[in-house]
Amino acid sequence: MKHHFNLFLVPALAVLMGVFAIPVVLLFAVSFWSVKNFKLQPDFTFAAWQRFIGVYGDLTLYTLMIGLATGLLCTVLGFVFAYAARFKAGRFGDLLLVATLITLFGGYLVKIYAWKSILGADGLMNQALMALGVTDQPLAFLIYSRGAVIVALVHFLLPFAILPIYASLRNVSETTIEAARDLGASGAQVLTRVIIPQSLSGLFSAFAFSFLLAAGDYVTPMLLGGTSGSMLGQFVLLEFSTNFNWPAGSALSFGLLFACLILMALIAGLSAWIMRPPRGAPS
Amino acid sequence: MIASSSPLLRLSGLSKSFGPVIAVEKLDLDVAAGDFCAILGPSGCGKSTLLRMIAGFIEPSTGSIAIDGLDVTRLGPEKRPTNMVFQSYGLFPHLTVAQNIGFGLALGKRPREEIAQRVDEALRLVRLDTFGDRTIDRLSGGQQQRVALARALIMRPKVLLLDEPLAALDLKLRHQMQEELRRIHREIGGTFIFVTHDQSEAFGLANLVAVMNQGRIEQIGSPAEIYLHPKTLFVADFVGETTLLDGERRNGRVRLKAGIEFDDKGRDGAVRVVVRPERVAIRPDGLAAVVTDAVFFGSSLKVSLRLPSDETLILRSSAPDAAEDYKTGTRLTVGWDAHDQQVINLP
Amino acid sequence: MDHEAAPWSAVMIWRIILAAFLLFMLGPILLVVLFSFGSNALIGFPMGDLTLGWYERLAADTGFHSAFWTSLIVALATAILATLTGTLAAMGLMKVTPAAARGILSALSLPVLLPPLVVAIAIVVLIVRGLGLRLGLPVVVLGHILVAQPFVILIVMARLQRFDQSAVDAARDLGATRLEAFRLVTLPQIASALVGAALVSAAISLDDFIIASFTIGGGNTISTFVWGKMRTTLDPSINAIATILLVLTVGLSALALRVTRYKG
Repeated sequence: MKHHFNLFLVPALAVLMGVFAIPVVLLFAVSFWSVKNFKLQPDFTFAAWQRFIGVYGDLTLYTLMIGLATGLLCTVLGFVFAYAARFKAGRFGDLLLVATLITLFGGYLVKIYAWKSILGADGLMNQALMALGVTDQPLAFLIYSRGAVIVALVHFLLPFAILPIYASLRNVSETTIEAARDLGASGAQVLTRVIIPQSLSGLFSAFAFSFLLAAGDYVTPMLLGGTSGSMLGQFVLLEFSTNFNWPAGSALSFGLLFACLILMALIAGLSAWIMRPPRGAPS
Repeated sequence: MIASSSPLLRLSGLSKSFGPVIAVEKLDLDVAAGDFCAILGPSGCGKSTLLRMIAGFIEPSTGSIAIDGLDVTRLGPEKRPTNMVFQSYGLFPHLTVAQNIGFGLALGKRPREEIAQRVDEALRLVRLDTFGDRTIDRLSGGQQQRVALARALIMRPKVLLLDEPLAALDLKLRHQMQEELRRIHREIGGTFIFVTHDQSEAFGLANLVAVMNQGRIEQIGSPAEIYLHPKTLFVADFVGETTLLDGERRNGRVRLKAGIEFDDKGRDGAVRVVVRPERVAIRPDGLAAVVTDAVFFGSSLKVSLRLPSDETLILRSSAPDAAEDYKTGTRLTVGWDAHDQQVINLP
Repeated sequence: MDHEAAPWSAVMIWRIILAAFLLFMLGPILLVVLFSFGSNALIGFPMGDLTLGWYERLAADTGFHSAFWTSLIVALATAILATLTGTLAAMGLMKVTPAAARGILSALSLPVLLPPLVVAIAIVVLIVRGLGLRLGLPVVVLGHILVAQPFVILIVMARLQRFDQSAVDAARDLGATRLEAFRLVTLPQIASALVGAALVSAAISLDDFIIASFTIGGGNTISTFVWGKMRTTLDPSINAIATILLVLTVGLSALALRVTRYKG
């Protein structure tokens, strides 16, 4: 007989509680505290939240946009790659997956630094473009821009998106694809009516993951964003570490989180509406 | 089956090789409209490959496939007038029963009312009238298969293909499904082709049986022909239970190792004689035999007899008190009618 | 095996697409590695002569030494402890109802979904303000265990689901106690998954930057060390450090993949 709980779960849950749940709840509480003369004290005020909405409202929107763009790009590109690896690569499918996985846990900082070197004024990209004669001045917009941030974020998060999509594609039974073809479906119809509906959970996981992590990133915009590519995460750091305004740092963090969750709920609703089954369903 | 005019399905010189492996050797097959055809053979004989070639999932290495006069050899499965019921059904898990069944029609952009009406008809045909709104994960195996069947039949294919249709079902369900399939076949008068490794499944459904072995069709005929007049040793052995007795033919006379002689025209050389167990009976003028085993199967008693040539002869008796006559160790004389035996030359 | 031969132009297009993807994903990393061997300071051509000079400099850099050892200690501790908590949790999850398992697993995976920044800050607030304790390596290790254990759970659960329980039943039928059955039957069979999980945990720990930078107090891990260099953009040994970090993390991941024979 299976229960709802088991003693073996205690160590992991203890870590979860002690190192995550309690700290996060405490942090949330801190967002309502106040700072006087650089000293943090318990309080109940919305000052930090007002700071979030008032000062950082626009930046939050830009951050969400960057997160959204990254999430969408990662999901679409991730799907293309996973689809190719699953259905079109034959024996190489596994190899491709290995190539993806290998880059997963390695080199968060390295990757951002690499893009800095590639997109910089004296970086590889500009060198190549000038050598090819496409331009005779280094292109400034390649770096310290929103685009650069998005490129680097997509580069970092793409493997994370590919994995859940690939996993759900593997669960798509080949027989359903054959059955669809047997019933007259063209390649595109097989994709939209059989494959994608069956891999929705993987697609959503991929999007959620890449969107959330992109929106919360601060290292990438710090190194590649300049002013136009700023993201909220940098200012969480600023408020927290430099201004010692912990309540503000907390309010910004949670504010961003809530904004992300709201956006994801909207997108989930939207995709459910888009993916409603085609006609052919008598009630 | 004699094809009256031109057959509905004609396979000519069809073969398939995967690299050096020959899955299907050059074969011809004609199936007339209204036939219920079984392709019967052991696993690995190429029957699934053959079925998938007809469906369009595998491109033949040589030969052609024609349906109703139209050469479909180069057409993909989407374009052929065939539909298939897959062994694992391949139902769409994200759609309801009705949506699954109507899938093909929805692809063809038929009007909603037409789809609804035809889906209802299909549900009635497979006796799943109230199941339209159910999700697939709530269905039993038998129900899933009927949905798969309805989904294929609603497309009104010229040829319906079934891949081991009864394999996944337990015994009781199998009999039920067999009757269902026969009824549906009669009702809509379609042409069905299915593959199976189970001889009783083949006989229970088909009027035309093609026995396959190692990529070749060894014999095509009605169930009776296949059973009573097998043309090759493989067919004799694979289809139903049988005894094979060694012998030799010289100048139209066959001499069995067991001791009998009789006239039979044909090629000189080593032969095997096929005798079906139910045609063997106790005869005063028969071969001497000793009962080595007797097993009661309910509908008949299966008796194993040892002949003087040390070969084993199987006898089946449906007599109610047969067990009394066939106790182990009993010495008897047994025989069969000349027209109940089949002589097959060894290659 | 059943697919019709696709027109080779379609096959070529897919090959090109896949190649482009691989180039995008692996290219930048390979560039860093490549240029760590170039005498020229920055990434760009001309590259300068092939040299191990940057690595030599690192070998002599005491700051790098201490960062290196710190990283190893933290990674080792994380590997052992996260594998422990994660494996126990995986075993626990196999024993509870599926609904409970889904819920608990989601909860345990939350720390990975939230921005590491928030997680790190929360930890700092609790430790410094809530508990009045000091930051330091133990806190770093705790933070790493938090984000590594979901991966351990996934890896070990995947192995457990393929595990044949009847072998354990047979052992007990032959007289083994529960503990013996675990030690003699279960453990040897899931050992490869445990090793893989440990390697992955170590890789995660080595690569982490955000949590470490907030919770380490003083000192450096390799990641925070290289971050310090990146702020002063002109230090060319960054490529070398980055390459070392890459070799360690990617190497561990590759080893883990081999050990667990991961199939997706």
